Amino acid sequence: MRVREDQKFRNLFWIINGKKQLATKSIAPGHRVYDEIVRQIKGEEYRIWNPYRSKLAAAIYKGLKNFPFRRGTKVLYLGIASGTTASHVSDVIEDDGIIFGVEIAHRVIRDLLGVAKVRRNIVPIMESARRPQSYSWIVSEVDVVYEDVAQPDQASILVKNADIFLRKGGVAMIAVKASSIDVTLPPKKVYRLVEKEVISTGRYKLLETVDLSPYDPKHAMMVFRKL
Amino acid sequence: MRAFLALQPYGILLLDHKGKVLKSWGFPKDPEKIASILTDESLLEEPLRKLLAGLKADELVVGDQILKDLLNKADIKSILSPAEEAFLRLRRTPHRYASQIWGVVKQKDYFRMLNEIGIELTRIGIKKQLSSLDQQVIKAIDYIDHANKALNVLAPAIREWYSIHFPELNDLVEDHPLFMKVVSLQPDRRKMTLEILKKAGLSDAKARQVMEAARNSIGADFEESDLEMLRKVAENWTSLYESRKMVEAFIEDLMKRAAPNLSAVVHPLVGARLIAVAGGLNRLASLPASSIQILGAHKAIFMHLVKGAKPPKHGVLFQAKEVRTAPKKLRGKVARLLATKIAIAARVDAFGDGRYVGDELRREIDEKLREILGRGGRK
Repeated sequence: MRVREDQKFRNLFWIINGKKQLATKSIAPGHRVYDEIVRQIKGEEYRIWNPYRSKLAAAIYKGLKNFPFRRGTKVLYLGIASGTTASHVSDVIEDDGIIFGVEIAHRVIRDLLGVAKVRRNIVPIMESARRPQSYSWIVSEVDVVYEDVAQPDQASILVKNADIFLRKGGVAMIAVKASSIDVTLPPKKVYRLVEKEVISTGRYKLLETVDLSPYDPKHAMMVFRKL
Repeated sequence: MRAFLALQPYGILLLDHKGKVLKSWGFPKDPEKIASILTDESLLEEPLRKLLAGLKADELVVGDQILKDLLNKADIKSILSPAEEAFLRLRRTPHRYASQIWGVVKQKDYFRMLNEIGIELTRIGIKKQLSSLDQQVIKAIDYIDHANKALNVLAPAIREWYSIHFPELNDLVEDHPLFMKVVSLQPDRRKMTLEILKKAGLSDAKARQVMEAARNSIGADFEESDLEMLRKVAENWTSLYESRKMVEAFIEDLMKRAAPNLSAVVHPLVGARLIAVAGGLNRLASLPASSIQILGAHKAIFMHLVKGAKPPKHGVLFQAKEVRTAPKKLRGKVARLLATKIAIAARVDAFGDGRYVGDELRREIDEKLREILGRGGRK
């Protein structure tokens, strides 16, 4: 079993063990967040990042070109849920970075609390992402807004938040679930709709759209930059 | 001149348009204290008044909903606009602003504080939501009780009425929902067919019996309009019955959110009833197991205390299938066992910060249950 850092993206690792698996180096060794596989290599603990469980991992497997997370990155995470994906982001940004995790469903935010207690770079916020003014007192300026909320108005939620919190030049990522925006349209058309809505503000430009099948059929990761 | 008012984790700031601090009110440097200030907004009223005293501004701009609400309450005109340049500057280097109040704060330590504040506020928030959930459970159980009463009062009335037309059906179909279904599908006994009766849910044999009875009925013939009235009445009864089932399913769902541990230990509807009788999840959680065992048996316990009657073995818990199906002699034992685990489950749900031990408790119950039932009536 060997481990190799990704050539392009710092703090992303590939565990080579017959096959190549994406992983992050745990900042909280000994604590598992979900039922992820953990590997000990040369005294370090690596957590395998499953593309079937996390859309961000799926996007990396599918050749995402803009991975905006590195050591020290500040993130606003909308729809953080129980922190499955966020825990890997937390590994990547390490203790110098921070994740403001917004989640309204108290059932999943309970699990997130446990994660935030061992990962001090996560700030749980129990509010609706539709009302950024309800958490604007605690969230600082961020480098990345990451959204995974599967709501019909997810594009407008992204813009609302990025307008307030994202720094100029920062990256806004949105995991689009085509069927929750419009089931009747083919997914590609839905992605165009989302793109249009974000671009039409004149404050963002599209960097890329990564289709997530087969890991998450009819989902895409769309990446924007704030101008 | 426009003035900018911002709530921050370290205090309230009054800024000019460039984000320079004009006046401030600092919070103590303690996450728990900060969280409690932010959960009781009235604590901010006084400092807010002091900050705004003597302020001469054409327009007051606020950066968040909490202050906006407070200003509205105090009848002070302001506009909410969190993306103003002054606020953007504030958010760019919050730890530097915090340093003006707390003395030098490093970014990393500042973020660490936010983590603790976030955890504390979320804990409080979850608790608040839960207490509102268990109140919903209580009201929904109340609805079910009333719906049951209505259903049980109305059913005989409808049956009596319909018996003028088709008296034999009353004895043939004893189940209320089935009876109402038949009447609402085809009230005219002369037009009943095997097909319709089976569609209503009768077995083949039963349907044939009803057909036979319909042909030889001694009931009076009804006008079309009379039958239509009965059909509507039966239909309404059915929809009330359906709504009760719907609310039951809703309560199960609610319970899994409000009290996942309790719901794993006893059927969610029984758990809901326990919460209702106790008056809330927190109250149930503060009862000793012995009280939970006889919760809902008020009358019996007072008869016992006052008149020396036999003490009750169970109250609401009789509705748990484990108790109901146990041999009569063992029901007290089973109820006592359930009560102890319910007490633990309720406490974890109420005060356990989202811990889940439901499956473990359930397994312990099943083990003990086998033990108790296995050795029969012996002590």
